[in-house]
Amino acid sequence: MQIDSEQQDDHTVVRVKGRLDTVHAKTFEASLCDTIRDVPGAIVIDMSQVDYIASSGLRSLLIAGKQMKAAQRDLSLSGLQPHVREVFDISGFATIFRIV
Amino acid sequence: MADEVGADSGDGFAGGDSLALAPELNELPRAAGWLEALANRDGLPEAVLFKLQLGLEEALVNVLSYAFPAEGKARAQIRLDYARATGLARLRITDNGVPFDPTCKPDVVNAASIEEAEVGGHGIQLMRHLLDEFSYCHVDGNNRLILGTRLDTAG
Repeated sequence: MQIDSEQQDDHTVVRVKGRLDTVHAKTFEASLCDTIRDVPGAIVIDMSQVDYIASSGLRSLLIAGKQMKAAQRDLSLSGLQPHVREVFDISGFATIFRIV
Repeated sequence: MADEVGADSGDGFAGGDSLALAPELNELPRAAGWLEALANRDGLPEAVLFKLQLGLEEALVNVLSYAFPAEGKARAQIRLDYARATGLARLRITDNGVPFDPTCKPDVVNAASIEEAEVGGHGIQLMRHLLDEFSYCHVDGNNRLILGTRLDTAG
């Protein structure tokens, strides 16, 4: 798994590459929480290179989402691949997250 | 308990591919790699592999997290079997841990907002909705969970 972040005009883009599975979810969660703590403003998670997500990956995203909501900051997800989108639809995450 | 978990039980897995796992979460990549190699060998569509990978991971995480309390780990056995039947790719996960039937667990209720959403609980929901076969039985002291995906309708 590879995670990079890039500061843009008024938000930060977090680019994730690889599998959001049980093995990698904790690393992803820790990286995301560090970004939330260290960088102000809105965050967009670019999921266009995530080809697999399990419930453990959903869990990490929800923890990050709750932190951002509590801080009244915007979190959105972009570039969901079809299989990942299906997981979001089934779990209701497509409704509770802002997907662009 | 039978001498070896996953012995032939007349459910279509006799003589197929199998893999024994240790009761550790770090076995997950080996299980995923095993399934991916079989999918490549058999030319399974990408959507079928995705659904089976997800089902296998969710099922194994449950087994590895709850089936073997510390005192039971020494005698723990986990075995995967794979079979490609007509129009269906199937996995059987057999373990000799604490009896647990995931197919009878109700789905979580999807939340209306991030604030209301509870962390966790989507694994069984995903298995139930993505898989075409999701069945369980407890035989000879073993949990047997079968996951199947149709080859023609996976999209």
